[in-house]
Amino acid sequence: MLTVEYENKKYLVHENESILDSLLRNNIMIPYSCQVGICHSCLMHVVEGKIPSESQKGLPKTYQEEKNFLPCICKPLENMKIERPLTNSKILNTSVISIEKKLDDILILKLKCDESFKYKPGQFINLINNQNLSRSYSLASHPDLNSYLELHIKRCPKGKMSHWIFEELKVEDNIKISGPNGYCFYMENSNHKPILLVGVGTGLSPLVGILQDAFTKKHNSAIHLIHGSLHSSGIYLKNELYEFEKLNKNFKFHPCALNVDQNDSDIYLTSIQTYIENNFPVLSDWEVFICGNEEFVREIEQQVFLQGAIFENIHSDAFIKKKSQM
Amino acid sequence: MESIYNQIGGESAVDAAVTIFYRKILKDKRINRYFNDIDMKTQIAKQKNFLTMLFGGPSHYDGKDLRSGHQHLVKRGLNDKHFDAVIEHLTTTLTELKVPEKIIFQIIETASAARNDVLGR
Repeated sequence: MLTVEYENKKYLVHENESILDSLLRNNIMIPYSCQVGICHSCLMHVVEGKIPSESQKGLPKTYQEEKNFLPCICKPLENMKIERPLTNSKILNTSVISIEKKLDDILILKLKCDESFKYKPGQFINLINNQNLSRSYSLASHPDLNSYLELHIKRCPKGKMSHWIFEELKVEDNIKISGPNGYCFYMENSNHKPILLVGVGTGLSPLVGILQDAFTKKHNSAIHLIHGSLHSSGIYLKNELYEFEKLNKNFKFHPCALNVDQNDSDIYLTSIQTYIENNFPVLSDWEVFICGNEEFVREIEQQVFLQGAIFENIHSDAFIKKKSQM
Repeated sequence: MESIYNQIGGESAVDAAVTIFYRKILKDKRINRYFNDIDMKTQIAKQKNFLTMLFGGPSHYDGKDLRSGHQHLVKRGLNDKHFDAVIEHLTTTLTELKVPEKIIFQIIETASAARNDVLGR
């Protein structure tokens, strides 16, 4: 008989029993609801063992690639070892190589990790400071192109971590990280589809990572990046992205702002919503990546869905504020 | 007698229906505010579960779940007009998918029977 290992204990899985059945029978309370593979409450991560394809049905492709599955519809083919999802919790040490202030409230932080660190551009890591404060930041770097990890940090008015990074963190300081986590990354099987990357503020950071990844993996369709800001001064990588445009004919950069300075004639005075409506009216075959604050992400998710984007092709990463800051 | 779920095409029919159905709901100003409180991924999973139940497929929804699940919306003013709007969109969705009329009728009957549970009566 086959076994499933969870939290260091092994449980027998009877014939025709699902992994969820086995765990519940053994009084192991994992979250669950519909028991038929629809609600995704029981989502788990596979550490060892072949994943029956049935047990990944209905999960976004990015989740499947990260070896997540649904125990309620999983009849194991061999012994398995599973864990809760998103548990890349091993803490690693890094040192700060550079802190580059792009704007009054945005800086680019580059870290060198002591050990080799595998990640997919667009995923995020948790920074843990010496007061044990932990916050998530998306990766803008690429593991094959950069020897460092790059994060874009925005100073939040009441943000404890961002204040600490802006006021106290210095080059050569050590800072702990854990991860990577997240499902907002480029997948090679979509290399023939046009891609729309939409970000507001430092939502740009994972998109920059994804953009580089698409090019290293020889993406052969158009890639469009829309970066939005309240004010044109907030388009903090304008020159870099226009440069990137000159080097890659498949790539187009669309900076948008609600307020534009006189000398920023290369930034469109428009809201992102209107820009997408007018310039990308039909998104049925597109892969769309959306990053930024929660409200923005929800709004754009809905908008692109209504403009024809297929649900499975919409990938989003919402930056959720800690409750104390709201 | 084969279940409606299998007759109309099972899971792929639900997938096709959810996309069309949910788009109609989001575009309808009468009701879209009742679907805006949770993120799209969760909402779509719920809609899939709902449609699977309606089509007689494998689902664990029951009257009690519909009642408790809509309680907070009833508090926000959910009423017959909103219920009717959703039935309307369900009908046009199934019509667009070219589901035979007799089957549409059965599905709408099942959906309509949930009125009191959904509206907390």
